[in-house]
Amino acid sequence: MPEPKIQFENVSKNYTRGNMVVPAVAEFNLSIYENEFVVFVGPSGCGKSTLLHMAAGLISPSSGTVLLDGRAITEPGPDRAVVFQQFALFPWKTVYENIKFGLRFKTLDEIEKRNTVEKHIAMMGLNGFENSYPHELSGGMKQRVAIARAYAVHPAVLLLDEPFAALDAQTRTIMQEELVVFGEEERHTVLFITHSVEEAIFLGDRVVVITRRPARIKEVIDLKDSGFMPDRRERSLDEVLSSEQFASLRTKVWGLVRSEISNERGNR
Amino acid sequence: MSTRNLSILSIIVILVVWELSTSILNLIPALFLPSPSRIVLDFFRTMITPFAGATFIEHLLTSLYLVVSAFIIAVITGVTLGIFMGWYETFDRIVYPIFQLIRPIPPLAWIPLAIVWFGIGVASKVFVIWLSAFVPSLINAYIGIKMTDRTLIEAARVYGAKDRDLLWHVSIPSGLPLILTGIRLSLSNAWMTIVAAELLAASAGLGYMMQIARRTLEPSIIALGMLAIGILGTLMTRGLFILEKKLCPWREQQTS
Amino acid sequence: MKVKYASFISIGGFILLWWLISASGMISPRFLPSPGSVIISLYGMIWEPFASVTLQGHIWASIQRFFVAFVVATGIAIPLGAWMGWNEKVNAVVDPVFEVLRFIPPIAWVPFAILWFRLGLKSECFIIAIGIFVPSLVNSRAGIRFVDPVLIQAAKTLGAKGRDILWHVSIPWSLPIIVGGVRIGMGLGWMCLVAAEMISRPTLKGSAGLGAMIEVARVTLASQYIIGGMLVIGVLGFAMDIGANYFEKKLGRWREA
Repeated sequence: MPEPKIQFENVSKNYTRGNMVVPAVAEFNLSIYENEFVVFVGPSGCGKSTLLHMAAGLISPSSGTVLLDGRAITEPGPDRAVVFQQFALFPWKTVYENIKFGLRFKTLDEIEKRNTVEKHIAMMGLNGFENSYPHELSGGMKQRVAIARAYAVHPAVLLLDEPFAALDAQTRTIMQEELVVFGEEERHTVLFITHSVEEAIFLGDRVVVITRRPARIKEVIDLKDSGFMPDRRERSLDEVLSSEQFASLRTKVWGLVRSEISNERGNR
Repeated sequence: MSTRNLSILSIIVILVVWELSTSILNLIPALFLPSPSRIVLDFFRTMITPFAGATFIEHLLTSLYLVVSAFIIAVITGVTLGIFMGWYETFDRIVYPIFQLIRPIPPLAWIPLAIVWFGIGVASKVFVIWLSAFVPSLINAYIGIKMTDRTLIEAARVYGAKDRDLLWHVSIPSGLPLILTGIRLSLSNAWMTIVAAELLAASAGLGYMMQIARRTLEPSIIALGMLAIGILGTLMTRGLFILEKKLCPWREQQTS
Repeated sequence: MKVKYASFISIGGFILLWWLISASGMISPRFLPSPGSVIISLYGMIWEPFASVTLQGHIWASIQRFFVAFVVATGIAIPLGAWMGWNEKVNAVVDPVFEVLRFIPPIAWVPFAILWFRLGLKSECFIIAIGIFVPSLVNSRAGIRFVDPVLIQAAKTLGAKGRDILWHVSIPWSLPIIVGGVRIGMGLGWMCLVAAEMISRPTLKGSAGLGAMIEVARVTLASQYIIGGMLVIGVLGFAMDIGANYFEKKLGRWREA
């Protein structure tokens, strides 16, 4: 077994609200390997975002460690680029400047920087919008810029926090297909958070179902091992969605997630 | 060190340095900057013995009385007119341009004209204070009514509300936070104006007291006046904040 | 179309009413000079001095004072406010003093200003500067303090640290807010200028300045100059506000409506 790229080692996170201690994540252990696309799926508010933020270095665990290539993560950095749900584009910068932003802190000369930016603009289909401002763009375009910005810094790991949740259903489908295409062009280790079961199955190599709060692993489903449509990424989303294999997988995963939701509701 | 402790430490250090450099070590002449102890002493002195014609409390009450009366008249007239202008189109079209014309003239610039019209007395001061407090109340009430969420009005109409109902039951309540903000602005404007008015032409009041104290070279009393004005201003503003919380419990409050 | 005409009609009607009342002789011209006399006196002041200088002289004197105060006040308020917004500790040290002083209206400082700087330019600039200072500082601090946290997170994940975040995220974000505060300060400062001039200038020889002008006009019972002066003060203040507003909108162009 090769060394894991990202390692969650007995990670817990607690928040204090007044006098109460609210656990968000409890004793989470997981290894993510190089060039793997891992998806966390679970009910809303279960703590999956918290896990991503810890991997990003934006939050520190209350106990346990998150490791990147064996070294503990203590602060955010471009080796773990994040794509946020709210896009987080700098509104006063153009598309070009936004994508270039991350390169500012790297040692590249101007020409290399320009080439990188232009390459990613082309890759994301943003040609013609280089000088537009974020407020002039649609949601889908904004997220493309965010993704381009994250790719441009050549991160070791890509962290995507429900990136398509704020988009309408049609745009979301297209973005999902495109993400798969980019993934083929530039392979990265990816941690992807979603609450959509279909999205998880379509995109991921491994799907990790998270329990309701505090977040624990309910089950890990290895799509490679189960032989699920290995060529699914070359097909369109609707082809995949209408296959029988998909239907049974979906039922299974949704069943797992749903039980967590009804648990939560029952305990209210 | 926690930020709260830092703040407290900062206040203490400043007070100590201030006291030391003025009264004890005499680094700064007393004529220039009064020491805190001097201010406190003079506070008690002027409470008992009259200065510039009246005790400290009497001056304070004179100012307060003027401000509050002018302020109340201004708020009533301003808010009413603002609501009218916001609600009735034709009225708005006629009055608004005239208002826009007069508005840029700072209230204090009206003082000479007010004195010509009303003489050097209470009336001219009340007029100028009224003017300064009138404007923010009017504007905010106007905007508050004009910017009523269309969806709320539509919802009310679905349930049968007519013109007057809409004004009273939808626009005014939803505009209340803005109206109260306007009232707060009116108060701070009124305070500012009375100080200027009293500095220029008065025979009593905090501003007058400060002006006389300057002539008699008693800066501690000037400082006393300033502190009184500042503290009263803060207290009244806080009072309005509390009123707003009571009247508009549905609003998430932002600290000023 | 109709709306634009309505403005002109209503203002025209107002001026007409004014003229009618003053022409009828019901009110003495000392109380209500006719619109005509106001305009004539203003025009005359361009060629002949009133209250020691011409109209341009008064305007220029006031603007000069305002400009000096503006530069000093914003030069201190904006960096200090930004620093206070950025650094909690600095804020904790400076804020208590600021909170006490900030509720004292700028004009209340006049007696001290005169005591410290004697009547004249410095004391006036001091008052104006205080007026401009407070809203500028408050907005600078708030702008830097309340930057959208997601943007800061995004910058961090792309490799920005400490000072980088201040310069590349916090400052661009808060620029329109800061200018908004300066704009409010300018309105306040302009008011203070008028008051400060009214209080201190007339007793000095060479009473140039718009506030001084209307005060002198009052003492000499020349009402048309009072009203004329008021109009000029209003117009200039309005122009400054429009300028500042334009600047604010331009800097905040990237903000969606």
